[in-house]
Amino acid sequence: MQNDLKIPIGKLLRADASSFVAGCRVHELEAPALGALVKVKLRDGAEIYGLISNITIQDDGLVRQIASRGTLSPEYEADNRYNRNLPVEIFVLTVGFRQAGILFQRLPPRPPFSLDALWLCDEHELCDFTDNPAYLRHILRVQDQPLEELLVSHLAQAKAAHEVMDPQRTNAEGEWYSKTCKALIAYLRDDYELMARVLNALGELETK
Amino acid sequence: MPINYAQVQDSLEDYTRKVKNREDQRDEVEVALWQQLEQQSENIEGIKARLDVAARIAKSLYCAKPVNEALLFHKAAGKLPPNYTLIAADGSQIAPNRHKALEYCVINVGLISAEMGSGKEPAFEIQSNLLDYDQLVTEDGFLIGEQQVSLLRDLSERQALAEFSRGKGKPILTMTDGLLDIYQRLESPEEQQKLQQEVLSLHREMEAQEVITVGYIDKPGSELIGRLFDILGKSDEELARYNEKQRSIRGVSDARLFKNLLRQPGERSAIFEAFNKSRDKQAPRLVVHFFFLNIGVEGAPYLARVEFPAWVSARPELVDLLHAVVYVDTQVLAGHPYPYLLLRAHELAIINFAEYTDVEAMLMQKFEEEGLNVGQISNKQYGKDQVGRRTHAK
Repeated sequence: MQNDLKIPIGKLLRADASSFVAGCRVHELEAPALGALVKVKLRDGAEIYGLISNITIQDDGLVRQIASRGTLSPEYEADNRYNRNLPVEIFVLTVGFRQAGILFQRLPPRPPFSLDALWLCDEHELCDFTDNPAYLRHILRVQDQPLEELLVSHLAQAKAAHEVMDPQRTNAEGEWYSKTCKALIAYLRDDYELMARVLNALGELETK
Repeated sequence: MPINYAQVQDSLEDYTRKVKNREDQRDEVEVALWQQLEQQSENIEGIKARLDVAARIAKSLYCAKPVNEALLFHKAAGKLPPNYTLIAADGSQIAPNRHKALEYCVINVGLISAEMGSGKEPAFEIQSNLLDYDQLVTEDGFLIGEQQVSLLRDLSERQALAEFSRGKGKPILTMTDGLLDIYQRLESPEEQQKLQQEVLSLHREMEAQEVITVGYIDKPGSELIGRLFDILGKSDEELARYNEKQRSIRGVSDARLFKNLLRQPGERSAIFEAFNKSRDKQAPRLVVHFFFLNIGVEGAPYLARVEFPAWVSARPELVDLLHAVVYVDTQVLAGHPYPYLLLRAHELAIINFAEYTDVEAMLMQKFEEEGLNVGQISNKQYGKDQVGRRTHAK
């Protein structure tokens, strides 16, 4: 995993105040995952953080023509995956920013620019950013996809990172995770239906 | 303004009636031609001898000449070798246009090379050449035309292939779209000869490296077999004043004829030579052989013409190799078979409108930096561009 962390995974295509979209090549797509924490470094030194909320892989006429054929040589399969400019888009939900070394979990003053590089955050940065669960409110405003699935994907990665970064278990085991779950319950106290869905999804993490 | 549909509608009946009449005539010619094919199928040496005589008598000839297989020979595609290299090249161009603000020409060649059996993705390259300013104008002082640009593009494709195939794993096959040799005519015979020589030397270089160069012709409309029997039916006297524009056997394409023979997918026809005695005296040129290949499906044959240099025919194992490789490559694209790698080369080569405007902007910026006068777009072109925004064809 460490090798992937220093690799830019795409370049920005478009952005608004609360989200942005990056384009990448298929082999760059092997590193990022749904719910991963990513960032864009701005020229003034600020960094904008976001969570990967969706990844789409477009097709075209040639892919459709090839796909309807039974078998394909590995060379031509690789050609379509790695050589052709198939539009792979990474959708990112903005969750905070860092300016002058200070971390903020609110939306940045302005969105990043097109062609800025998108980077995957390492475990240290993931733990640092997620230490305060305030950023979860950004996830809870997601409406166009099942947010409990995004939450469980993100929290699974964050939980694993916290466990790796604290191998001596200086914190009581599960402290970060239980703190985060409590924060989630507080955010969702007026929406029992969603809370039930979220807790049901998070149940998967409890058994792992 | 939209098309006058009512006027077109009024013409449809007469038009389709004429098509039907023409089709009936073609059916009759096809039956007669097929009978001759059956009768003469084994008479290879007789046909070759008669064509040699005809070539001495007639001023110009262009037809199919059997090589050593019976006319009605057909053969299924064999197995592919575990490893081979297939390279394809295709070109596109921005042709010079005196109506534009700047006169320039860009030739773009897309190259792609697949080492089949390696599991690796193919390597690719795009070569973009801003044509030398001295080459833009003819000896008469006119801008070069589309024909000359096409010739230069075809030459660039072949040069790029020769360069790109060096050091690749053998056996190596290269593919271009269209005829293997270059047939377009230039106004200057010297230029034509020079170009022909260059193409020939590129092919000789590749032959020395045992690189099999293939020209792929989709939906061939040629009537080389019809031309052959037209010539065979002429007396010496008729050959002396032979004019191919007044052929008595015409209208039936080779593809239409060989659909009767190549019924199984993957089958190829006999090998023929593209026998060409030109009116012009020219330097020695590439001897091209070809076969027809059924790339369609069971019950729906679809024929392509596959051209290759004559030296390949002397090596039956190489013919089998190119037969299998070309057939398999066409089958990657379901529904509309066509060599996959050629389509990819085309995709690499094509210059889209945004790229075209970018190149023009680069040139304009450099002109301005150098204090050169950027010309003015013609009023006609300006008007066309405005109107053309809502039209399909210009």
